[in-house]
Amino acid sequence: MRPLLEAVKVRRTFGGLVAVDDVDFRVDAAEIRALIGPNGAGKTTLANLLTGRLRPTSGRVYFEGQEITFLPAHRRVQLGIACTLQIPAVLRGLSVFENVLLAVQRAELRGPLGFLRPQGETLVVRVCEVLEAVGLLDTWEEPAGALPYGHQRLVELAMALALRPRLLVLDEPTQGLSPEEIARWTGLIRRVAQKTTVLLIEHNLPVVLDLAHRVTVMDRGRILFEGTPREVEEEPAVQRAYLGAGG
Amino acid sequence: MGRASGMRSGKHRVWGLHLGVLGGLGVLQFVLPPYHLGVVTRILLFSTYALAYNLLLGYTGLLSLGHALYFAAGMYGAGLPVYYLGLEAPQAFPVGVLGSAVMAALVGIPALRTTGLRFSIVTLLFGQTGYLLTLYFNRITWADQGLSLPLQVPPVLRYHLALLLFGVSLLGSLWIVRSPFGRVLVGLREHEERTHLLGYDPFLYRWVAHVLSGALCGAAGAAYALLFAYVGNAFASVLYSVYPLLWVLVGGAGTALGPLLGVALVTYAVEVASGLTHAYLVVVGAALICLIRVFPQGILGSLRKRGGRWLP
Repeated sequence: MRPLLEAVKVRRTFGGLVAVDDVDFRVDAAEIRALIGPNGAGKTTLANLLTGRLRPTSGRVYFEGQEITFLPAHRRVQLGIACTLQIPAVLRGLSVFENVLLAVQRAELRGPLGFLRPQGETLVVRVCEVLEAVGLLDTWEEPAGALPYGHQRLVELAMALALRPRLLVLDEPTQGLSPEEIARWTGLIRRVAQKTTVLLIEHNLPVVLDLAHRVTVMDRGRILFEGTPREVEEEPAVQRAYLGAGG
Repeated sequence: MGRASGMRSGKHRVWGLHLGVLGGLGVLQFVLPPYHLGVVTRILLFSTYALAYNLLLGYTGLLSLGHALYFAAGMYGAGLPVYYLGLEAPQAFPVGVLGSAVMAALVGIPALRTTGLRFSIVTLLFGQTGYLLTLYFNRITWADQGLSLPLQVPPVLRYHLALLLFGVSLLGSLWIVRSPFGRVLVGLREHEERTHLLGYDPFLYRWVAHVLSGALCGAAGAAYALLFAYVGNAFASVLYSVYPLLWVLVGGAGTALGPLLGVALVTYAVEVASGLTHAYLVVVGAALICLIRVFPQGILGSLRKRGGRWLP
């Protein structure tokens, strides 16, 4: 089966530091893949190479068989790669509704003419759908910047979902959330994954073991191990590098 | 859906307010003495200029210090063909608009590789280059003394045309900023990276906004040249790049009516103060500082924050 996303020998250096070191990485359609590893392992850098926030120093990236190595991030979004960031990025001054509307119109409108016509009811209905899915319908009117941290993450997720992505890259979505919020997220991701492939960068090991179909472990810019959650738990090298070192 | 109808009524209120303002300006011509009719005509033209500036500063979040370039491009683009080729005003007007649109399109390509403070500096340099070019080609532009055009527009017609231009620009820019396209501009202003990661090319959207803004500046400049039958390079100077910034900040950046309010206030502040003293700019400056202290986001910007959130 052709992978949904494939990175071939991608490398990214920052000055003398090799953040991602000739990594081969592939994600199959319809899976939840977790990417774990200690701080500084290169997880976020690898994710950025996939979403287009960074270009690789060398190597190639393919999405559904098409090379995307040098495509800018906005073109990749149009192909179906959406992401949320480690530090939630919302349009703070705009309402939750307007935040999601900006994402909805990207997916629903076509052509320059579509972008000059005022919004139709279909867009509004779609925004409500997405907000309902993440449970934010009640706060639609509030400025996104005024929401609690956990809810800002949900706004970001809503924006990503509104893009109808084929691949959703979530960078540490549960960081800084309470246990109740984490439980809610786990349910959400599982529901999202019925339609979308999910690449989950995560520190929280119980969440990973609970959600992921497969887990990739990175350490010092390389992939250390890849397998099912159970295999990861039992692999001594992983325990040394990650669990033992106290990540 | 209740939400959708809630947004609809807000829409009626918005369009009602703006049409009301335009109607009020229409009535004004019957009440104003001739001198003030001329002042308000200028206010309307400069408000069009300020609207164009606000599209970039208020909605896209780009602070240009070179917009006099586009105002002057419209002015010379319309004025020179009248002077040298004997073009009629209605044909000269689109030439001016086109000239400034092309200028904005070309300048935008290098200038929009930067944002923030760098963008301000780059545009300042382009603006100054334009100003110096009017002097360099002095034999053609008569920049140092100004050109009088062989046109005569009666004051009342002048007022009507200025109001028409302002009205079309106000409703047009309102439509743009409320369209999905305008929403992307606001997205770029609020959070460039997030907007980029939603699939929008920041450069492309800023460039289109820059061209629209430049063309509208040009329309204001061309109208000024044709209605007042005068072309001068004072309008290309840095002062006229700073004016729109001042107007928009006073009225409220990112508000639809802020530009008009800002131009009107500043113009009349200068009028009143210059009647009182020769050092009128000191008085105006002091008044503006006080104003900005009371309304840090411009008058309409602060009013919106204090309860008129529906204001566009």
